[in-house]
Amino acid sequence: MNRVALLIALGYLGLGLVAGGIYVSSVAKFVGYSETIFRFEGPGQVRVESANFTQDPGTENWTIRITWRFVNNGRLPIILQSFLFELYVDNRSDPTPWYVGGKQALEFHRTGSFFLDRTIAPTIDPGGYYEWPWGVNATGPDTSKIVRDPGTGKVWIVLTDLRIVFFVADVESRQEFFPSDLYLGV
Amino acid sequence: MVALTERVRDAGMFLAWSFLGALIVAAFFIAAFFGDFGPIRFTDPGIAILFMPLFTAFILGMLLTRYELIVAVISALFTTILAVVLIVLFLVAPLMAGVVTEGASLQQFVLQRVALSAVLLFPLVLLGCVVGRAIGEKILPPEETRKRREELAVETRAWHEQLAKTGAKPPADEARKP
Repeated sequence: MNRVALLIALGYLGLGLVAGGIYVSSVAKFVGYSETIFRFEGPGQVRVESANFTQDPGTENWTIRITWRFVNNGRLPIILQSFLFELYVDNRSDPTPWYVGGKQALEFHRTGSFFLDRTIAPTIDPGGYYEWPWGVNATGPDTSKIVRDPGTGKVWIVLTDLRIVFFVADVESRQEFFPSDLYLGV
Repeated sequence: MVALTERVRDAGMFLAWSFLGALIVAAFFIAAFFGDFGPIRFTDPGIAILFMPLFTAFILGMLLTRYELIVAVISALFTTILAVVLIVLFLVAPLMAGVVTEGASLQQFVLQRVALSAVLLFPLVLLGCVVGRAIGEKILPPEETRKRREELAVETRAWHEQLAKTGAKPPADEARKP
């Protein structure tokens, strides 16, 4: 093999090594990306960490506090751009399940959400979590619809129409998913 | 025995160069086409998608000058198939790693990308390989060809000198006489 051919062969080999690095790195990131989405959209990754309903003494007003926890069990960071939910308080003195008929229309209802720019949105590192406290001081005539269950003494809440928009690491593709409804006694 | 060793070495080199070519083509195709996942970002992915297979195959063709032309064509086909296989492996890697579940949309996605990459890559790789081999043969002839050419040149010169000594003119000149 003459010198020029040897030089070309070495260059080709070098390019092959660089390409091998690019290939392995791309595969690893693609697998990590898919795994991060797959795990985040799995059960229990978006949950209520704590919820409190406190009635202000001597009034019909309530202070409602719900802390959401978003868990990232994937390999890449998640940027949480927006989250939206609907809160209903189920009046259990009516035995009809909360999802049947028009029961929800008659119940106490609030909407919670945040919408942020990607650059300032919270980043959840792999293996970490992000807690988002949400609260509202409920006043007005509809607060009378907040009724504790006579049997358990708890306020039963329905968290429905959950919608999350997020990004994984620096990947441009926007992800959206709709976690299952939650029904909790607090 | 020597011929067999040489044949095995030739086959090994052919496979090694072709596999390396496929790896280069596939890696740059993925980095350009699925830009979010590659460690390098191209300002113009289209150029990378078109240029890299052509360039890689051109170099591959130059490295295959000691082989017949048909080997370069087979290498282009082999390189493209290997590159498509590597692209498919990239696409199904999450499935193989068990981090996603298979769905109809994934199959469709993979099939579309495979078809697109094969259609895009094969003509470019083939063209690059054949042109590379042709140019390589001119500027980088294999050792045996170069020696044969040199021997032929020496022989021709000696023959011309013999003719000059005898005072005879080369047959080509005589033929031109009316």
